[in-house]
Amino acid sequence: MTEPSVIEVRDATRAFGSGPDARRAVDRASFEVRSGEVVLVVGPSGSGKSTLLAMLGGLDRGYTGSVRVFDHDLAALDDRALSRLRGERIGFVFQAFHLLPELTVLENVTAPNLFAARPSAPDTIDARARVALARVGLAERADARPGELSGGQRQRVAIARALIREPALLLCDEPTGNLDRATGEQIIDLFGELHRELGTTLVIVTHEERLERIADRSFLMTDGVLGSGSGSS
Amino acid sequence: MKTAQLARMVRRELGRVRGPLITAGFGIAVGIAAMVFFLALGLGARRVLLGDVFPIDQVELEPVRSSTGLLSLFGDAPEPAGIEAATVDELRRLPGVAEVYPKLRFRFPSTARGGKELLGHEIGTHEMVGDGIAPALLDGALRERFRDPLERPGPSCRTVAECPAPQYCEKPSGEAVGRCSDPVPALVSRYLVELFDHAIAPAHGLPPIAGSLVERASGVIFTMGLGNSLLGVARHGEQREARVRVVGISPKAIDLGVTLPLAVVQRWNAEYAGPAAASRYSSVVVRVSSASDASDVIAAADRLGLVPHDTRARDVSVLISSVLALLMLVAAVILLVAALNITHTLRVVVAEREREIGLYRALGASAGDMRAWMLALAATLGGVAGAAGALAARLLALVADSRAAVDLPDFPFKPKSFFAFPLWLWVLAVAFAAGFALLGALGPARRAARTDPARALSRQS
Repeated sequence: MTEPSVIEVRDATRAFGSGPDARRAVDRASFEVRSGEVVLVVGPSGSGKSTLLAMLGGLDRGYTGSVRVFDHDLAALDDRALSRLRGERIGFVFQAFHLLPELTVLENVTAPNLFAARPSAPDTIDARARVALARVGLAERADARPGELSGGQRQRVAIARALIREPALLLCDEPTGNLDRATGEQIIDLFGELHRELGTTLVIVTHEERLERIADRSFLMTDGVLGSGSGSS
Repeated sequence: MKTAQLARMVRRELGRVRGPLITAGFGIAVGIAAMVFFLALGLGARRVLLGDVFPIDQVELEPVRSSTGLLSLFGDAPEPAGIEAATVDELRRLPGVAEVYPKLRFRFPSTARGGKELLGHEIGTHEMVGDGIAPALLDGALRERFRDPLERPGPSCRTVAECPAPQYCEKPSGEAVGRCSDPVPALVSRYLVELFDHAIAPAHGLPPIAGSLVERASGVIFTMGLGNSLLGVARHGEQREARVRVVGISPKAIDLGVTLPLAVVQRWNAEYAGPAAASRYSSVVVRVSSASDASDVIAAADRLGLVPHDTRARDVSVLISSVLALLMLVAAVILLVAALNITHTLRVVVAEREREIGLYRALGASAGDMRAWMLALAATLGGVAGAAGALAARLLALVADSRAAVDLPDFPFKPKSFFAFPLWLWVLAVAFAAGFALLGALGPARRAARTDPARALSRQS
């Protein structure tokens, strides 16, 4: 049985600048991601991968063409509806982690609760955050500050934050880009585990081909152009 | 974003950028302190000047002045213009009029002497002026003491010797028998008392009377000579004496002279100046529903041939309002500068938080949430700064009052406090401060809401 489509991209183009200086960061991309898939978008720096990911997360809506996520045309949603969709069904993991240094690990992980339409009670969200931290192997560092953690640990915190609201779609932008090889391998393994245990749909953009070992499909992106997918599905 | 979550973010941010926010809040606090201080001073001045010296919630109207003046007290001078009862009723029906109280000037010559109990020896005046007002014009206990004594007349009498002290024999001209009467209650103005204490008493080596005039258990009793004065005798009636007891100091009293119950003055006017002098009032006190109604009532009264007896209240009100407006302008400039400071501080906050805002957007925050965050931060800052400013103004006022009590010489109407801090002033201070802070935050809040999350997140730290 074919899984339902989580992402449908049709002829999506994102250009920056105008006239002769215009540059197409994403050029007529079309692809589909089905529920539970791990899809990799591989390409060198500046190839447009991060722009594509921002489009999929509704963070960048300056494109032409169509991007549908969970059957919602992102361009047609108003800001509040789009934010709600992001908050409730989409998680982000960034290369730069984007943790708030003044907050503890636990506070960072619970941050998405601030913007929830129906926020959980502090005790409830703290308990869920501790579960998420345990899942990424950082249960004992809940009260630490990000500055006290290694790069790999920070990325685990970012993943726990992305998982706190149990999103159906996780968008990862160079998740191993700031990590050494060994730590990167651990994070890749973690993604594999999460995918197996939670069935989360993963879209990972990276320049590292080693992530292909957990991917169902992968696309090569060069100068904004998305190549045809390769993989098992 | 829910309120609790918004409050949490604001609290967190206040802790993170404490220094710059305190600096920005300081400007607001200074502006609000200046505004509250000046306003409280203006309100205090208004309270003293318009409450005690020139009451403005009421206006005294009189017919256009005739030229007869004091001559109306004697001989066959023409009748002074008066106000008929029908005109009083007409005034009562005017919009904005809460109540109308007629006043009746003495239309007979009189003298007064007394004060031995208070001053050690008798003092007197060869020309006593006064008027009569309705007891209803007075408030509280004073109203009860200010009654026509003949409402409860004593036994019949022919001479004062037949009446128990301090009563006297109230025997109208031409009557063979009178009735023993308590001394007629009288009011004097604070203006008169202040004038005595600060001008007359020092010149004659007399003690000041303000502190003891009313507190004396028996009150000060004066003897009034009716129908005769230095300038002449009344055209009707016989010269005789009446006793008058000062029962209070009141802003309702005539500035220079004594004010008696209206019924007493009506009787004496009829006795010494004929029936018309008892029924045509010399002026009316119109109590307006609010100070803002005063000008409309004055305009309507003008059509009835009545003009304000005294425009000083309005002049003082205009003067105070003008000075206050000027001081408010200064405070507004301070607040505007403070608002600009808040704009600058929050701009920096937004610029520094650009990636954080991008992250929040990725985590589910809407543009409106980001706007609300900045506005709530500014409103909280403004509210706290406003409360601090108002508190500073209150402390400053206390210091100013205590210094004034020690350093300023005693002068007429010197108040215990030069300031007034009604509850609404505190509320206004906080609301104003929050308002100006919000004004300053509008730009940064808009910028926060418009932050492009994709670009913000892609920025290198």
